[in-house]
Amino acid sequence: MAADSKLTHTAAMILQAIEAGHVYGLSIMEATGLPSGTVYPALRRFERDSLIRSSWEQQRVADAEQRPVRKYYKLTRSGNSRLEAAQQRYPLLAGLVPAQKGK
Amino acid sequence: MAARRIFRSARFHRAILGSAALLVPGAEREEWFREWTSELWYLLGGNHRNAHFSDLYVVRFCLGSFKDALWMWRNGSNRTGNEPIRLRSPIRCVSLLVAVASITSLVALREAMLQPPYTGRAFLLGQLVLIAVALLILPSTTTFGLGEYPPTPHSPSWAARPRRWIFLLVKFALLVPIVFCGTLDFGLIIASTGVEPHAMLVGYILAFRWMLIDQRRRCPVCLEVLTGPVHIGQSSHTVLDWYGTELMCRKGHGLMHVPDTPTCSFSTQRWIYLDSSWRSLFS
Repeated sequence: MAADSKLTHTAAMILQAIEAGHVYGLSIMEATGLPSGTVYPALRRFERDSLIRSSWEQQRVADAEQRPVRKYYKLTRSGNSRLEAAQQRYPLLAGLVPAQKGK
Repeated sequence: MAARRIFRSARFHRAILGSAALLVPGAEREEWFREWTSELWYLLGGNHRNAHFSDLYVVRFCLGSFKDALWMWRNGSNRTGNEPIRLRSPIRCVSLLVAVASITSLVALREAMLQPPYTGRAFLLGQLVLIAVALLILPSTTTFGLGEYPPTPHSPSWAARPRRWIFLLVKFALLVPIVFCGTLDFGLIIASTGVEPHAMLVGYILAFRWMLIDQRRRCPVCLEVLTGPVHIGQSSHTVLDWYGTELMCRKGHGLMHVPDTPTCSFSTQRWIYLDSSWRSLFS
């Protein structure tokens, strides 16, 4: 049922970017070329609709590297099925978003 | 050169994010700000300026926070939870409106502004026309509908039901002098006499819009502002069920279901009266 609901191309690109390993806002912006004013509200909406879930990285990890903690996003099962449906609708989607190095 | 220095200033970037953060509901503001400032730190390359991103890109990134903050403001989990306490209770709301109406009227009277041409039958007629035009434009900004309140055995008595409408009328009756006198005071402040009709029209539209929105988010029994919004369902449920936000009366009078996407089966917000056996959960 969830997979039947259609995503816009922009929304699908953001989900694809997360799936490709771009798990924080800035990385998603770079991968998709979308501005922050589009990416962040979309992330909030996806999280509200349970397509993704967010988590803060551990403070001690960030402290050890002397940098602020980052908020990471991950696809949920529902998000994955929505993305699969979107990939069928937009066959070139995977090619538009480069995979994160190391993914 | 000075503008370029400002554009590169971390304080400037944080000021943009800080301004946007004011739009975010209080309970979510800290986490929201933390995420944006953290991302900004990485964008700027930590302690060393990242040449990969131009100054303009960084400023654009920060300005994008306003769009995100607006989304949070409209959809934040405690949208009505951060309602100023003074407006939650109907008595306090009316008291505040009375106070504002008194102040604006007194200022207008003191400055002798309630004299010709601001009096007389023609002027009153003009005001009525302005109010009518505002009411005609109002549906383009918000719906006139106040929601469905299907009667049940737990509905308030017939004697108590008009309270909701009386409250609406009192707000209307107080907003008219607030806008009227407030606009005259505003004209006085900016030392202009030509802006009043336009400012009044805009003022009436905004005031009536607030009046309807405020009325829709109140419990029909105690008239307190509803609280505890919870998002229910998903957009994919639209065909068989509703999805949207559920709000509750903190005194346990009932629940309000507000659909995210109006459908033919759930076109507007719907109130569900709870019987007294629920009250213990809310006390």
